[in-house]
Amino acid sequence: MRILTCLFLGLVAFLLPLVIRSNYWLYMFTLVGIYIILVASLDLIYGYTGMVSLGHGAFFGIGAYACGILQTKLGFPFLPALILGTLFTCSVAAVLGWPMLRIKGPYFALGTLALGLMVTIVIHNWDSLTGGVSLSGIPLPPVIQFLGYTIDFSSKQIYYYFVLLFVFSTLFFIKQITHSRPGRAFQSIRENADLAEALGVDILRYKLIAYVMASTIAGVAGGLYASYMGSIEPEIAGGHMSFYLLVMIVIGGARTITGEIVGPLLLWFVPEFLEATQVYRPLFFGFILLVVIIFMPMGIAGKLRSLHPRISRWIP
Amino acid sequence: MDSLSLENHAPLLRVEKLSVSFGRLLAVHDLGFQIQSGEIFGLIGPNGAGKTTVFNAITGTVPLSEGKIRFAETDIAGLTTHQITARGVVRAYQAATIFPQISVVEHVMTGLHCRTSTSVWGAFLHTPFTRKEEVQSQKKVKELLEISNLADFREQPASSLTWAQQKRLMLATALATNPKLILLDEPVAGMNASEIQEMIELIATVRKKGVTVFIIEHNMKVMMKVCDRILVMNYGQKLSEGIPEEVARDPKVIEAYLGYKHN
Repeated sequence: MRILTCLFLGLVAFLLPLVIRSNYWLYMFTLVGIYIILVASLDLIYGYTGMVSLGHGAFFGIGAYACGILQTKLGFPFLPALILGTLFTCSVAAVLGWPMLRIKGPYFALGTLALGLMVTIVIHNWDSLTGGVSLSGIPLPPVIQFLGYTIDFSSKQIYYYFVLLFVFSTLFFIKQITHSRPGRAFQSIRENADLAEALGVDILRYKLIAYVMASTIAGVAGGLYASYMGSIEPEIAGGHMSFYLLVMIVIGGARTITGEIVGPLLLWFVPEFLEATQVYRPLFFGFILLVVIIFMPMGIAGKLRSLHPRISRWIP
Repeated sequence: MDSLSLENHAPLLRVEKLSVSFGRLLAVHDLGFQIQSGEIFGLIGPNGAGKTTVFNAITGTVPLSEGKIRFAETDIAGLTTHQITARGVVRAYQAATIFPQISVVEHVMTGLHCRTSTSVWGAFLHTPFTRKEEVQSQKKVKELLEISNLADFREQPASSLTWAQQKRLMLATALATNPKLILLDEPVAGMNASEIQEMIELIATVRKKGVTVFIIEHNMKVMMKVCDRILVMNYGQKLSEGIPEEVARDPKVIEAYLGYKHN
């Protein structure tokens, strides 16, 4: 049943550009797509492995800047830049994760918070490389001729589908991983790390696997974002970004595809409809967060699943 | 029991001159004992005697101050807990320590972790190897759920089970790691008579499968019934060791338990 819901959602996402002709809304949905990739990857760390990361944005920023710098300063084309940028993010996550994952609970959360701050500060101050307050002039992926079709990434529709491809892959990847041996290892760490260790799970290794995978995916999202926006600021790696990602997964509902989609959609679009200015946005986040934590501790998806087994069967 | 013939073989677990201290507190002092393959070995003693510390030392969760722990003729002191589990020593915890939100079937499946090898890529690509391993795992889990009498609760979260069921679930999960030696920390604590009977039968089944059992338990009736040999500890040291009847008659043991004064 859940697979049917997934197919339906996929179809809706696929047909969306046929309904929405406005470039502005397509632009917004493309950004939501990038957020879904980020939130889904954070779910590996937070939802499945049970570690509260307040620094997931750091890897989004590192990925975005790595891809941006490779293209603007070193003249790499888009695809090699995306691959190298992602590999770079992956290695940074491995090098930082190795010592950081030994600390637990609130200490880990604070460590990741510091990580986000450090990355932002480095980007800000290394202006010869990063452009300081902003890195601009990042090109779009080049036009591709494919089977006689011209794929031009400057079209909002094309970039939407391009990001959608990554959204589908990310959600599929995470679903496959979490419903198998590595996924059970992640979840055992969340539920009871000592017991997991006693049953033979190398908890440091599996924490590192989850952390590095999630950070690598965030790096890919960064690369997609950098090319789409054309210019990026250090704040994308900062605490606000990371905090919003965490809020999105908590509100949507951890460990569910529904939650990974609903969280970003809701928190992205509802303030739009309220026509709230940027100033009031944190207030809105705070309010929704409180309501959800009190009335639906498992998030919106968790709440829907708990309503009735029959409903639960349809919530992926 | 044919413990005499067993003594001719090398012991499965050999603990020599074991000491564990926490600061200035000597929790275990100069303790030595051996467990033969196939036996059910009990460890008793008053509260604070250092029983759980012995389990902790064997499974690598506390560092030894002194001594040696040899399992199947190799030194396991200094290995991490998951490495020790991989060598075939597993522990079922005292309180019903479980993964509360995990379904019963996935719970037992988690115990198979160290005996399976599907990687992240294997899981992602769903390779024939992954599928084969998953089918084998399901089969193994089904069998373990049947012997632990939990087959009716497959899809329920572990936290929804009763206390006794949770302890059986924990035992089934520990068995999934395919151990040679299983350490049970108070397996019947907090159970009623019929639940205790069910656990005793389960322990007998475990032994029939060729797994050596090492039990800590306060319930003396149960210990007298199931154990081949019993070690008694007091104040971190060995007080007595032998077959249950001998141990029960030992004046030192009676004194430690009932507090008689020496004349």
